[in-house]
Amino acid sequence: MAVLSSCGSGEGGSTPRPVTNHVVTLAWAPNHETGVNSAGGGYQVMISGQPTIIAPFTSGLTAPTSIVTTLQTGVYIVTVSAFAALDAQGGDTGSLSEPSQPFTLIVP
Amino acid sequence: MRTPSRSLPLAALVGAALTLYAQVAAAPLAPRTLPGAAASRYVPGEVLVKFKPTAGTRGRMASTAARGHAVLANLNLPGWAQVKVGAGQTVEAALTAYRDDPEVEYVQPNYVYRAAAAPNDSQYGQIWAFKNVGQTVATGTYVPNAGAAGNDMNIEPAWGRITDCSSAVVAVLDSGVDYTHEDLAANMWNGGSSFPNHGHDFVDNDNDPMDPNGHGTHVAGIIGAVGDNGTGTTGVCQKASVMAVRVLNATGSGTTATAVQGIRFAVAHGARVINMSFVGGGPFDPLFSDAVTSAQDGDVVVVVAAGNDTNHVDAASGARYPCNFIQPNLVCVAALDQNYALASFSNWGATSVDVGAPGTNILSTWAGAQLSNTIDGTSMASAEVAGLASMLRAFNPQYTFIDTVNAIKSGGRSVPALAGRTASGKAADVMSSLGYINPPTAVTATVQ
Repeated sequence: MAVLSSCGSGEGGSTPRPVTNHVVTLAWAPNHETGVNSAGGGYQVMISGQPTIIAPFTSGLTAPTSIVTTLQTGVYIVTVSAFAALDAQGGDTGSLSEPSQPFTLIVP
Repeated sequence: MRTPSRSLPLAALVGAALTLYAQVAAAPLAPRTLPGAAASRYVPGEVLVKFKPTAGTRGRMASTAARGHAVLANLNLPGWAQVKVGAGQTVEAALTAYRDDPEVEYVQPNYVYRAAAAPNDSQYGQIWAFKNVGQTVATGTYVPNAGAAGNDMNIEPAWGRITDCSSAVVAVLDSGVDYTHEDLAANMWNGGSSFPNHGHDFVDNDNDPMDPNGHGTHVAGIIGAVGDNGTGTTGVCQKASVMAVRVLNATGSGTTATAVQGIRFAVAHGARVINMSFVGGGPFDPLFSDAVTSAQDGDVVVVVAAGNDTNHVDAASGARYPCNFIQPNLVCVAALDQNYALASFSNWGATSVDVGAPGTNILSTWAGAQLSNTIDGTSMASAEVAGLASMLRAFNPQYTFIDTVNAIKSGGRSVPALAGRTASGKAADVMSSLGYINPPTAVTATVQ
């Protein structure tokens, strides 16, 4: 099993913390744009050091407002952006929101 | 309110420019990784397939049935079939499957086409705020009376998406509205038997908010004159629900009492947007402020004029109300000319004034026999933005007041003349606001 080296110093020989996998659920408030909550809309979740996760609208009233992923022990920065098919020129090439306020996620 | 200028019906007709176009071009800056970005360019769940002549009818049926698809129509073109793909299957997968089919000559999505939506209203060509081609406004008196093409509200692309804002009622708190006007009657709020004249009059305290002045009718027309009816002008909303709330008298003056009653009426009767194209230079008005807060509590956007006395409203003793109220549901609007310079009369303030919008040589409806008039003022700019607010709320029925205000401010177009003069530095841009997406909020994590 890989380990993360402790960043601590002067604490009298701290023991390296074992890296473990954790199931992480990320959730957010639903956007109110019709385009986000219809075909071609949804969210993308950015977790530092991880592949982007797409949560597209599939059916129902809203696009998904949570995702479940597995992360190893560590500290991550998480942001969520919403997207829709409609662009600011009136076409359908898509537009993406500014990211949400960065969220620091500590996985023990 | 500024001095009205004479207006004559225009002889020149603007031809209807209803054309069709395919929306297939990719914007250079558009994020290309969006999984659903292309989805609404074509009909979901359908493809158009051209089978080879050797396939025959039986071969077509077998080919589609084997994939769980169904032929919807044969399009009266040799070999072509409009095919419904199976439940849970994507258009992309169907395209790939048919491309690999030796019986198929060609396959493509069923693309969506939309009208390029310039309305056919007879005076449309004079409304530079909606389409600035450098035209001179025939009845305009403000100088300059011609500007740079493209300095406009970028509304035509938005009309390809929505023209009907009637689900988001706009209350026009003003001198009344000529609700019998040929270009407004169909777009007046339905007040039922209680309010048969589409609103209320808090000046005369009766149920008849007819406009004896003209200003309120002009404002109403900017928001919601019937569009694409071959007559007169069009509003930001070609179809609308305009609630007439008379709070200004025949000379265009009102009071705290009439304004407050008007706001409460609008909120109580379902308005989603309130426009107040008037201003006072007195001290802070707590009762008026409380009424704006009550509109906020009712999830109502309030759009107001910055005022027309060339004043810095953030300066000491320079405050103008309601512009200087600080509620988050309030949007205060400055006026731009045809070059997108700040209009010479417009008030400004980097704290209190939020955005700019066209406010000179603005042609719109007028009360009585005159039918139309061209006037200047932040009143007109405010109305442009109120129409936009209604459109945003109709297009996004879940929008709250804060979503709407964010989309107006953040979706606007940066204009140098508004930098340091307004809080956003932006002019109202209808299409950009319609395409604006608020950043997600309230991100949380649960670790197991």
